[in-house]
Amino acid sequence: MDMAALVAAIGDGASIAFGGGGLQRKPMAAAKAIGASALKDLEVISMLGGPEVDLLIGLGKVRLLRFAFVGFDAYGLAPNFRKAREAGTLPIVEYSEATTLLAFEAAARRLPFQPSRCGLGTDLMTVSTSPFKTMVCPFTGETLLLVPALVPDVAIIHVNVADRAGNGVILGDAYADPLIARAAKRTYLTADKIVDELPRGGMDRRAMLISRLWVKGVCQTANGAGFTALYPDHPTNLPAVQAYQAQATDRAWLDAFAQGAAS
Amino acid sequence: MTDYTLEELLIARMAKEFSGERIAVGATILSDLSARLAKALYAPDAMLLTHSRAAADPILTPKGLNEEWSLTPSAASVLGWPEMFDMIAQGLLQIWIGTVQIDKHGNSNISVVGDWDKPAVQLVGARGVPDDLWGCERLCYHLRKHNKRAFVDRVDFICGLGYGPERDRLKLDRGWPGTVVSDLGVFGWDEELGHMKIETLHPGVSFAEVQAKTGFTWPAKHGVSFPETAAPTEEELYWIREKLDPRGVRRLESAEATDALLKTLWAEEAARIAAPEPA
Repeated sequence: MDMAALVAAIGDGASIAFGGGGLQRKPMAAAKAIGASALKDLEVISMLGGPEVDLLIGLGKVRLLRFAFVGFDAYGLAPNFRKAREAGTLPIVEYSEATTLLAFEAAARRLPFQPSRCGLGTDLMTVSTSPFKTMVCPFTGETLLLVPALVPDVAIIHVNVADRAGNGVILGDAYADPLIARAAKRTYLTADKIVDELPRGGMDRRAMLISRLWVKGVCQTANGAGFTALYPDHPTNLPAVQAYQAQATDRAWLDAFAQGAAS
Repeated sequence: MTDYTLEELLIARMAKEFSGERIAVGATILSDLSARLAKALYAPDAMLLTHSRAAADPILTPKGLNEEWSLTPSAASVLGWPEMFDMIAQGLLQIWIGTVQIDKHGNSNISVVGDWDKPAVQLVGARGVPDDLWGCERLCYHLRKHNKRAFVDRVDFICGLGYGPERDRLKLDRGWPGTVVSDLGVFGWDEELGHMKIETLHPGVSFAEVQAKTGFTWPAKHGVSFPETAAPTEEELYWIREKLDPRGVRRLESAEATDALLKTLWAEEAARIAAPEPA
């Protein structure tokens, strides 16, 4: 499928989970295409959000953000996320990393929730939009935190290489991606390299495979991770990251960035 | 008088907190180097991870800005995120967290400054701190700059829980506030008071300076004179300078760090990644 078809498959009001983490293996080409489209009122889900989240916030596409982290890792904070939150205009649901994973795990297993302790005793429990509840464990009497299932309408994951059947290979850190592929109603991969068929056997023992049974479509990209890192193909492009941080709160600049005119 | 930097002193001190066969992680540059130094000298069974945490158990290599390139090639295994949290739940992670705020009771905050609904400063979100709280034996904290915005009377948002009635109510017997380091000193806990205390002050630092830069009052019972933080040994300095950080990435967390230094380090590394030296 091409990028126009991917964007057309999303729909207004949809919830979208993005793969990758911080400044690594973010589906930037897809995020830019969504940003440049007429799509609106999106719910964005990212365990470790980076520029893909920041971009869509800056373009006014985000109705609600679910996250455990949004930032530019060692290179600073996310400018549009900051601006919107400090203006009080961005509704959010804040998770931790483990509770994000459990929300996807419950969804993947088609369960209503997963129990945990993570989050207990912290202000993740006290804020107005906290998604968590507690229950007394019927076996031990201990108070446990319940993480409700989170079923994204769409998951978008950038992989190193995919085949036409929808199998995808991640060579670096997989983050929550194997779980969001299994939690979402529809999972799409983007990849710079698409082959007819991945080689059988002899897989790199560190590679993470996403099965075609989870994948609705594969979209060809050229530099689909943009200025984020794609191990081992290219590291984070620091000058481009810094250019984004300096200018992304300028709406005209951000529109041009989403449309591909800026780097 | 000294022929070592504050950064080298901190790396050597932080390394002393690691022990045994567990994951050793530092979320700041200096604490990451301390995990590597610990593996070299004090905790040989420690398992290192990439900063993103997935490539597991690499050998000791010079620190870079792009961890997947510097560590993944020698990783013995890959660690999926759900498995990593199983290890955390079973006490197999030791971590230095780069917190933004810490208070006198040991609560920590990396999420927001001010009111969560409309923050004065939106930071990065709670990330993994609430998870480490229910797994790690102790949460150690590295704060780069000791001031009243960092060492506060009460954090604006609790990501990591310190001493106090909530901990007792939850019967939480893990995730205790651990060692805290700043550019002024090393800090621990008076468990009876449930309050932070000064362990050592770095060379040239006075109690008066620490008090002036702290947003709460230090307990009178601990007095005003404290030992000096130990200098790094020749062996530690050799490992830091020659083996673990020959390119000086640690300078990015020094007082004289500049954007120009970051750009230079990044450009040199990008060139090495694009054209690796022949083996």
